[in-house]
Amino acid sequence: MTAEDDFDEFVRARWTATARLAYALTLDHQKAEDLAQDAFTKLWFHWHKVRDGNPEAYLRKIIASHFLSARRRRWRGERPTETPPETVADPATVQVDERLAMHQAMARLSPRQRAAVYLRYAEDLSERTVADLLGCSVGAVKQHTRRGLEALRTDITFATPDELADLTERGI
Amino acid sequence: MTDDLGAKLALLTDDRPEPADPAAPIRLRIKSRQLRRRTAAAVCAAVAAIAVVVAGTVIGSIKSAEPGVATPSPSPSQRTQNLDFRYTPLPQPWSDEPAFTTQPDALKYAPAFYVTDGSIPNEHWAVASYYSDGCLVITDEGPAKSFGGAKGCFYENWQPDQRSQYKTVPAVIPNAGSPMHLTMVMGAVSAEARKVRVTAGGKTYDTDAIGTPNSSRFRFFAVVVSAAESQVTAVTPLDAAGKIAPSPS
Repeated sequence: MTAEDDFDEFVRARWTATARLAYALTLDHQKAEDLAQDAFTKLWFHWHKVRDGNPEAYLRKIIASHFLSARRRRWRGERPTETPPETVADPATVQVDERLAMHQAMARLSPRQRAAVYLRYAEDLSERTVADLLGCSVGAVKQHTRRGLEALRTDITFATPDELADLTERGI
Repeated sequence: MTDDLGAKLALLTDDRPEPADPAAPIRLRIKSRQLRRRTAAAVCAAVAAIAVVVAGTVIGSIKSAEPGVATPSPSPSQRTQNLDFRYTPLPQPWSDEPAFTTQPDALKYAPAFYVTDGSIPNEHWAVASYYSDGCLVITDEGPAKSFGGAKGCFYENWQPDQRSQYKTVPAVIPNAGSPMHLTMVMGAVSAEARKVRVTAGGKTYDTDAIGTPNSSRFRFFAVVVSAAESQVTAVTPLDAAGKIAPSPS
């Protein structure tokens, strides 16, 4: 198997998880796809070094650093809107409500808070690993995570089912 | 809440469109990036090569312009040979001594050959021919700053029966009583000429018409007259017999 074939297999195997991570960070399908493709492209140029090691970790590192540096370059602040950008296929379902509410709640977090929360609780990574990925200290990760969770806790995402129903009625 | 958070985050990200083959667009990006890298590398290599050449030229010029550095001077014949410049010498007066051997802009004028030199109060001046078929420049060796390193070219715009083409360069020398007006008269005459007679301020000045390797059609001359620029009234080339030399052929 050539290096290219090997890499293509890795892309196919890791695409879904990588695209999920990218979407959790960017909260935008197009940006997420772009970020994921860009990360895999960058990974290819280091493939001969990392293929026998831990390419997943390297890929996560590329995603995190690329996302955070892009946010620094083009930071315009988060502006939650009344209407989410995604088209709601079936607004009556609770699952969609929860997804939309979660989307809005995550959008209110800072990029670092969002990354820390997702990597810790969705990818189940240790604080040390998250600190390495975000290029900060473990203490900073703890702080980002704590503040992120506090923001999420006060957010409507974690409100009662009645309040979620109200959210649906308001078209959110 | 954190127990529930993982599930909610998974819910957040599970509604995404999946491409048929995610490796295909990535392969395209890789090829595009490789192309950009190769192009950038080629551009960088070209820029680096140009920078090395320019830096070498500049450093060489600076070194040659360093004052007070005594370097062995090769003989005129050796220097001329090194220029790799083919020419057929004209009869005397003739100069094939390369000029600008100590000038920062030597390469700009090369190959250049001394025509003549002279002195004005507190300064030494020299004039050199350069460029194929006829330009002159006043060098600032000496330094002859009063003439400001002026230059002129004489290889075109000759009228029928025009026997000389020249340029005047004024210089005003501060003097205790009244400023001294001097004018450099430099130009070209035909290859048949041997001398040039300049009339200025009621006086006549004779100077040699010098042949150089830069031209087989022209000879060059330069003289400083004690007169204002407007007082230069005639520039007449004379042949070997002392008669008025013909126009350049």
